[in-house]
Amino acid sequence: MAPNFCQGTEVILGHGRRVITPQGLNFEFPSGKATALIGPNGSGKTTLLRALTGDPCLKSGDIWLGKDRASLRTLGLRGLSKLAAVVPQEHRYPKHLLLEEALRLAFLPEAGLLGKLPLADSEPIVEACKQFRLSSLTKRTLGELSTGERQRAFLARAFLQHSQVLLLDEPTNHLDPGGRAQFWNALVTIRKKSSVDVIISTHDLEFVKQHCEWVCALKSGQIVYSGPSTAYWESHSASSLFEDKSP
Amino acid sequence: MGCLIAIAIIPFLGAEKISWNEIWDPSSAAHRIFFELRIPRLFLTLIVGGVLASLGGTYQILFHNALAEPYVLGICSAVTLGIGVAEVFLKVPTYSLTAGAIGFGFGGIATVLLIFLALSRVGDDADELILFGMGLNFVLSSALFLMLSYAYQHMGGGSLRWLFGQIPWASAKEVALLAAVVAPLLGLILLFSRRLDALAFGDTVARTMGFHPARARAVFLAVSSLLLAVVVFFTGAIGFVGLVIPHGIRLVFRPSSSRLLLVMSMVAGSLFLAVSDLLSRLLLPPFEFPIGILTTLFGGPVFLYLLWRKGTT
Repeated sequence: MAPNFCQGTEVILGHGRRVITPQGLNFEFPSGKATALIGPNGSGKTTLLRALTGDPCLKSGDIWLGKDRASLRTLGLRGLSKLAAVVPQEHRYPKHLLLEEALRLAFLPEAGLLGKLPLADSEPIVEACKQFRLSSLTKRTLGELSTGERQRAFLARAFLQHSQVLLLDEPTNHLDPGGRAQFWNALVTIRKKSSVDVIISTHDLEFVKQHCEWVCALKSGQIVYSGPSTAYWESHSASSLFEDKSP
Repeated sequence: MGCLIAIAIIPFLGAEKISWNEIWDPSSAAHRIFFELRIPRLFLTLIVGGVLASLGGTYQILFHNALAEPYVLGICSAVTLGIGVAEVFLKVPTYSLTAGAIGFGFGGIATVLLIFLALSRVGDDADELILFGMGLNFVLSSALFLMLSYAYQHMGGGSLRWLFGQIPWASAKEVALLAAVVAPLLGLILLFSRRLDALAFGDTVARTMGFHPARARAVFLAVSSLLLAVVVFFTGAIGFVGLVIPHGIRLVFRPSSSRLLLVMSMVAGSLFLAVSDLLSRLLLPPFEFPIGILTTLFGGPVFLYLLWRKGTT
């Protein structure tokens, strides 16, 4: 078995009193493969991703993350920032912030409260702008970007954080087909150039088929499949997960 | 049903006791109190309350803003200003037809302005309309306060002055003490200002940036409340500076980060208040205008102009 970068045992997730995964989730995601979380809305994808960011929705059980397999239960937020960078689903953002400043913020965990952030024309930021096709937009505010540009900016920020794991929650939700393609291209490029592990929740099954090697399918708070992507698509049609079998 | 009973009981209650039998006697005082005073007043409250509440609901939906309320657009201040002008300059009673007409006229002008703005310059960015309304509101109400504070000079004293803000003659020692308290607290806010940007990305992102979002918010609230309390102790509430300077800075200088915005606002706010204070002492000596009135009267139109210009570009 390949080494894992993410493992959970008896993971029970919930918001307040509402329990999302009453039976407990057990999962292992192998390193070096992009893991896709797929499943209908409300199946627990977003909650699982949020748990991976240290959100208190992790009620019991434990999750280990990263190469050293640190437990999220004992890991401080400072340690977490080195492990996980995130592009959440309902992304709030300061609309007056310049794009280049948003990218500089990626270095906030490293710099801490007193440290200096690298300048906007420092090498990693310029390089990332090129990679994510944001170079001509750096002097715009986040509010002035298009939805697609903004999503790429958020991905660039998360990537620049140099964490071991990228967590993307339905990142292409509101994008048009062109924007979606640009976003996925940026992600594929990142994976070629760095060893970052990726967990993506998405409804874009075509992308999953082509670019994600591992699939974790959720339905009503349970994992119904977790394994190699190719094997999943051999035995399941794209729509089977989304059929409503309840009476 | 309970509501109807409550409404039926209300006109019977008051300083003057009234019984069921008395009100049907047309010659009695109780009859007149009941039908000529309490019944009209009851219906007045019913109508006004209904209008205010439903308008609030309308505005909250129209502006996508849970805090929107009927007075947010400045129409109320316009009408009040009109009535104030009628009273102070024309010497007519406040509940006269003339005062009403002037008040209505002022309100009408403000409404036309807002409608014009809504139709021509603002898209569905409701914030802009609200900002414009707040600016208008500030300017009109400070014009009213200006007029009234001059007309009723003998009345403004004591803690009343905290209401409109004032700059006291403080001793050098007091000011040094204030500086010693304020400087480290402002420094703390600047130090944490990167986290302000990070927090604006939402709690999930903030957590993966290595700090606890709820605790960071608590720090900001604690420090800012302390700062505000210290300042208010000296000067009371000086309107407009806090609303308009940061927005004006954004519109003119487009600062790249919160830290830059805060530093620029600090400098601009200092200068703005110093100049306003100078004017408050020079305009009609020895009378000193309450500072908050002046900050609004001079800064307000500038702000409205900036918003206006932004709408056209």
